[in-house]
Amino acid sequence: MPRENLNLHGLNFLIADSNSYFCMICQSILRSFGATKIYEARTAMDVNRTLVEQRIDFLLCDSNLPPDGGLKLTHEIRWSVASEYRTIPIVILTTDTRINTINAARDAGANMVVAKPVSVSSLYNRLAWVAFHPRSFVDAPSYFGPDRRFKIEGYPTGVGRRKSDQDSGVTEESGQAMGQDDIDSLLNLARKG
Amino acid sequence: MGPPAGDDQVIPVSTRFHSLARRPGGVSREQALKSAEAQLGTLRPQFADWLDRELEQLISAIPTGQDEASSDDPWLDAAYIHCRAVRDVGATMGFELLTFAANNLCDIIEVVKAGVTCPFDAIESQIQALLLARKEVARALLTGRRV
Repeated sequence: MPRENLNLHGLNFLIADSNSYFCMICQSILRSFGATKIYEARTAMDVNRTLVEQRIDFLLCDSNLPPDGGLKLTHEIRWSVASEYRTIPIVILTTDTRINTINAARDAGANMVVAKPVSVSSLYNRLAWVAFHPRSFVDAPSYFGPDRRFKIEGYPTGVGRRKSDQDSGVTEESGQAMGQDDIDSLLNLARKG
Repeated sequence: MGPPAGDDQVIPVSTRFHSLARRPGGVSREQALKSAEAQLGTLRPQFADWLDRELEQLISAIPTGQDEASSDDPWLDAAYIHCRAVRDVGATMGFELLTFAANNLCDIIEVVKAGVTCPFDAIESQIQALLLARKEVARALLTGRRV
């Protein structure tokens, strides 16, 4: 977790949830973190309007947001090609933390998922993660959103799917292989310093 | 895994959030968490009032003297809204038991909406659990202790 301070002053936050009491609690938490401009939306239509009118910088969106849910809204925002909000950070709030839902949120283009009921520390940690670990966006025929690869541990087929991916396969053997005696002597040298 | 697509583009993105959130100044993690917990503490008395209203509406939404329900009964949606509201904030306010009981009731309502026979006795049990959890909230407020 980054040790740097988060400076949320002047940033425009939008909390999208049909439960006004939840929004009020979230507002209180964000204000304690230093946020000064926080807006609320109860439906996806409210979100689309507020994004433009208030120049929102960060969206916290409930996965059950009426009428069609926060994941569909996230997908729509990411695929609004002409919109300047296409790359806005989006955190999905959900009580359903099953892997299918998390994967669906990721595939819709969400930056992060936060489990509801939120805890103060989990919300802070996710905000800090998004702020201090910005991810590139991937523009593919079937996906637009933050790079879904958090770490590369080799590709399933040994070959990446992107042009920029390096071949992670084992390279051709070159030169003479080391014998066991050579390996032992190297280790002995290392042990002796 | 399909064949290599090769036409995926990786675009570096820097938003206003990313540039402003990392400005010098701001609030440290320790300070932010401490301040937020204190702020939630000041909201607890109003939370008790809100909780009373939600539980009242939840209980009145559930029909009494009925032993059958169909998956599209309107009371299921009404009860679910109030139950979900309690579930979503209970633990944030420090009352995990509330969230636990409300979550159980939400699960029951979801399966009834999916077509399972309505277990009214199980619903009644979860309502009782919620009312017990409500007493815990009252006790915590009286003693000022964190649950």
